[in-house]
Amino acid sequence: MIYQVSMEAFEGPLDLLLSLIDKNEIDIYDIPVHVVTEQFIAHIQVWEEMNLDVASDFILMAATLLEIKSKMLLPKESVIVDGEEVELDPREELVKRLLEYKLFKDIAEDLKKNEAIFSRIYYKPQEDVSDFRDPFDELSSIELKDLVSTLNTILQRFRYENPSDQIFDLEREEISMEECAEDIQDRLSINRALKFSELASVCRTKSRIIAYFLSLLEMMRMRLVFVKQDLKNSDLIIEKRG
Amino acid sequence: MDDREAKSIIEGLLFTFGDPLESKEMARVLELPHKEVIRLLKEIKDELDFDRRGIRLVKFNDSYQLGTRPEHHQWIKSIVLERNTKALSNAALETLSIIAYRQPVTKAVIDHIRGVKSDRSIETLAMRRLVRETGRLDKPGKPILYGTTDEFLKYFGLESIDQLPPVEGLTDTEYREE
Repeated sequence: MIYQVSMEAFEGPLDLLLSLIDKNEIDIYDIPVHVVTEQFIAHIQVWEEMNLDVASDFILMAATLLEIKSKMLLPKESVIVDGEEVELDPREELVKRLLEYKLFKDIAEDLKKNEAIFSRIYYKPQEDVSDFRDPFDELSSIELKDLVSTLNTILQRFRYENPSDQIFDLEREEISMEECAEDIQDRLSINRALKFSELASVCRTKSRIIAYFLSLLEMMRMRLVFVKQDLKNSDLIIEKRG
Repeated sequence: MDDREAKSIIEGLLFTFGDPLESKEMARVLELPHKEVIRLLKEIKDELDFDRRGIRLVKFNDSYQLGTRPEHHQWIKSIVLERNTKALSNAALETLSIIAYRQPVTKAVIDHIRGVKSDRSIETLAMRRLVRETGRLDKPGKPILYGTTDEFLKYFGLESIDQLPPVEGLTDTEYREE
């Protein structure tokens, strides 16, 4: 037997079941389980033939349907309720779930209508009134420690929001005095004289400036350079010796 | 201060503030009894509607906000950028309706009713601030309880959660305790 399998999207197995019930004009309180089960499984098979992943929820529901179907073939269990014998319907649990799901599906439809209407309202974003405030008045109550703590909070939040940025590898810049001495000699081979401020201006770190200064002292000791200073605290002028 | 003046001030407050403003806050500013402010707000709302002004007063819970009329959408949209918020998917709407009517509710209950996992939908709804965590259920695993927000009311044009249309067959609380 061939079933027409529709390709509409179903939200889940309950949705598919409801659509089958709807299509077959079945009374939800008296579902012919064998019909529905066959059609349900036919849907899954078509999806699989099309290489669509069938969600486990659908497989589970198929299994549940088969279980109910087999139970329907057995003599009905019965329980005593209020002194009366009541036959248990293996479909009862499923019907309950279907009805509840249908209820919320219908509510969702209503909400959708509301959404369509009320998403058409425009609201004005909050006014930026900061221009109308006295800036000094706003600052008067702020102390330095408030600024510091605010900054810390921002930095913390930044770290929290960017966990990947949390870890830094800080490498100590390694520069040897030999390198500095070489650099100074290179420079002196081009120009006769050199100002220390020129050396310092290319240094990005304090330790680098110190390294240059130490190597300069070393070069003076080794009598490789002269160092002159016109005034106290003025620039050092380095000249090649000999 | 007569009513006319008070209403005029309220209008100014709402215009300037832009965002939803609580009537309590307006009462504080105006130094008027809260009840009085609520009455004035009701009058403003009615007057705006009666005169079919282009602005209406939108109320949800205790908050008020000025907004345009939905029926003016077609004209307004031609002078503003297309909004990037998409309509909710059916899955999200289903999930939302369960949360709205069953709140506070756990994900397990939502999954059970829908017959599928609802994680993605809940995430979308939370991101659009239509639902939020309202607490934890005192059961093993302390599952999160979800409820709707003021934004939800505004989004669907409801003044309060009681305004959700009553639905038959919702007395069933069987799955709540799961």
